[in-house]
Amino acid sequence: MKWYAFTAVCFAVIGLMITVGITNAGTASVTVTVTLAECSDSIDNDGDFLTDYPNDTECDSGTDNSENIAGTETHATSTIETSGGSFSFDNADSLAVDFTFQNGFHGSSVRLFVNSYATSSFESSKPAPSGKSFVGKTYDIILYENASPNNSIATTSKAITIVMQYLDSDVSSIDESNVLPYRWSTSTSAWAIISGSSLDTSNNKVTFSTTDFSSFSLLGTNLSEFQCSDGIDNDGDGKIDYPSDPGCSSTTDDNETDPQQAPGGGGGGGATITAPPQVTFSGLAYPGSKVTILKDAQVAAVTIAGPDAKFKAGLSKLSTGNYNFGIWAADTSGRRSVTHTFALSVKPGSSVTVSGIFLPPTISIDKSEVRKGDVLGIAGQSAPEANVSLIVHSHSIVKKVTVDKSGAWFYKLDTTELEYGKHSTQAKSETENDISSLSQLLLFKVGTKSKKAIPLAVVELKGDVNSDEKVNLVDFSIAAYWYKRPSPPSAVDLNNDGKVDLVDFSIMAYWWTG
Amino acid sequence: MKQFLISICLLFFAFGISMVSAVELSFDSPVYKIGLGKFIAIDVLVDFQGEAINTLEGRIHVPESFDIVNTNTAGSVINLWIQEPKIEVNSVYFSGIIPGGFGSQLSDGTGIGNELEILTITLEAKREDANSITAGDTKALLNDGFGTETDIATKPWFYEISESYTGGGVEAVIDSEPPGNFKPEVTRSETVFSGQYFVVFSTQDKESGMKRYEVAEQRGRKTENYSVLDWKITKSPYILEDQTLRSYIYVKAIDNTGNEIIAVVPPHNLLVRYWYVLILFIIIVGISFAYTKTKRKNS
Repeated sequence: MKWYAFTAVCFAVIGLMITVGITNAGTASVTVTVTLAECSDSIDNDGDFLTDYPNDTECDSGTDNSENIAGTETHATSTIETSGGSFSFDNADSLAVDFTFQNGFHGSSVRLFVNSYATSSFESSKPAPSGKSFVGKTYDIILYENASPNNSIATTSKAITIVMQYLDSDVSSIDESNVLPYRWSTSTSAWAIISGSSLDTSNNKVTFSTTDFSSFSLLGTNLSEFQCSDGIDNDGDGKIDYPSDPGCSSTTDDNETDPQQAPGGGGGGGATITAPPQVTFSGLAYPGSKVTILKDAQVAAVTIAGPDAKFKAGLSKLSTGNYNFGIWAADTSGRRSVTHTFALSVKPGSSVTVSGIFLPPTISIDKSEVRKGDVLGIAGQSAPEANVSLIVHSHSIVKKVTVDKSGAWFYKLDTTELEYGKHSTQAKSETENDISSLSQLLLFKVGTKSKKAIPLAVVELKGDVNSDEKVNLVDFSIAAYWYKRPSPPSAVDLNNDGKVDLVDFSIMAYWWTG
Repeated sequence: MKQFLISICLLFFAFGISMVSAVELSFDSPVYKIGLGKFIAIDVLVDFQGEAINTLEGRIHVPESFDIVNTNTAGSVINLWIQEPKIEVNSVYFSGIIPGGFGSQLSDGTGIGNELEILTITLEAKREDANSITAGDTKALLNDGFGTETDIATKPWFYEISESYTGGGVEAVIDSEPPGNFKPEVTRSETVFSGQYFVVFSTQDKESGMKRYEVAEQRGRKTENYSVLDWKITKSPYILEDQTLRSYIYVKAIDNTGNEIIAVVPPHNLLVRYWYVLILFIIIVGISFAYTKTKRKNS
């Protein structure tokens, strides 16, 4: 075939195909569906009382196909009346968030607005605190006034109870026992723990209550944050993590090192805080004084007060339970304060701060017996520029003295007005804002001659049976050996009545240093 | 008339004194109508009524209608036991101290509350009865440095046991935490154990309570295979077998659920402790000596 003929046939075929196509198109039934973008469909798609672009600020433009915040996986709204009620929000993967509203939670009916997002959605805009990861979904939970749809409600009169669920897979690399609810604080731009929550690890639920609304999430501590699950031989013993390293009691143990004690060091030593403190103590002692924190009678931490007498110390890694904490200080002259004790309940995920502790002043006298009419020197330390009230009990005498800038105070007591015989004295401190409890009680005698007192700093502590300048478990153990045994040594018989009984243990407990 | 008025005044005075609050020991249990054969847990509680108390002693009398099964001190306010709760015939005796005295309560909800637990007693109802559990031989001493005794009142706990009742049952304690970290201390005193070295130790378990301690001693290098050690069940203080202090001392604390924690005390004998330093020193000295000698020989 000649080329021109071939070409003509081709064009003819092509033309025929086009003709048939147009004809078919022209004769086929065409259904056209026009779908308007959510941001231009005149519908309040996300129930936030704002319709379309530009009214709904979550719309980027008229062609934005979602009125919801970018990244929203599931969205729901519900009207809640002032009489209260409940609402269950179901995520796409069936994880639920249950809300319970009390009667009178707010003055008028509200519209509850809940958006859930993928776990990673907040990672850039609202990042998790260091060492923590999001658990399960993240949420925006907002309340709007039904009567004034544009007004969101920051705080309700009564708390709303929320139960959030998570999956087992959400905690595969998380310390599940430490999963807590958090709320995003717009004022600090950080996540804040919602206190008072309860965790049900059997059913993967966290229950908490809140009166404030913004973004919410569950957060837990990464297992890689703990020495016993970080894949590192932290203590250099050739063993890595739990259960290989015998220094590890669990994956959440944060210290691979075996617990061991240097000789004779049972009573002293400070705590190294590697996790955020669960219990923090702060207050006033004496300038430069060594402040000891006892936990259930054993030394838990030691700190040094500043030149302003202020101190602060924290304890972490405490098991849930009730504790008796004690705080005492030794001033720069070695005089010891009485022990100030606090009974506290430590709950999971909670932290307690005990502030405003004001240790009573230390006190010493220069004579154990003073000739009537002579001066009895009484001295001690307290917070700088505090006012010390010195009390002589037998005569209800109260004398005042001001503490100098170094923390020292001194008073010369004229014994002319005291009767012959035994007397006792104590002191307490007062600042503009606070008043301490009473110091140790010191005994002295007014007689016909003066006798120097042994400086309190070097007086053997009552109960320091083994003379190691501490009253602790060792002394208790020795006393326990002699309990109800005949002829105990005088060092153990603290009240010199020829026996070791409860009274001796009580005296030891008073002088306890840990 | 005068005598009558004086008598009335004295009567009111005595009544007033008795109304002054004293330390109070009481009991608590979720049920008091107990089924025959059922187990119940009774908390022995103390209310210090604001007094600074550092020593407590008492004996809990349990009628024969119960068998005393065990005691638990997991949540006890007492830190150190002079006598751990001891089950005797129809009674439990205890005594202990709270060093520093019991603490003041915080009013912000973190305090423990006024009724504090001393111990929990588990009982089995053996025969039908209507009776009460009481406390006697009680003592409370003030944290005043003198061991002054103060008044302590006790409130009995009334109960009924009957086959027709269904009350009773003790919840299992879920405890996944080992006892608290502790630091054993090796020491000696001429006043005890004829001056022999001994080790003291103490810890608490806040959830299921402490069950016992075990101690093992072994010379040589510190072992990581605790299962091969020769463990001895014991209490504090424990007289060391190796009085030369050349052994590692392992102290194991076990709670009632079986969780355990082990504290290790290295040998106190410095020669044993730093043997590698000594050997290194000998080697260095040996090498130096050999080098010097060789150098002299060559020169």
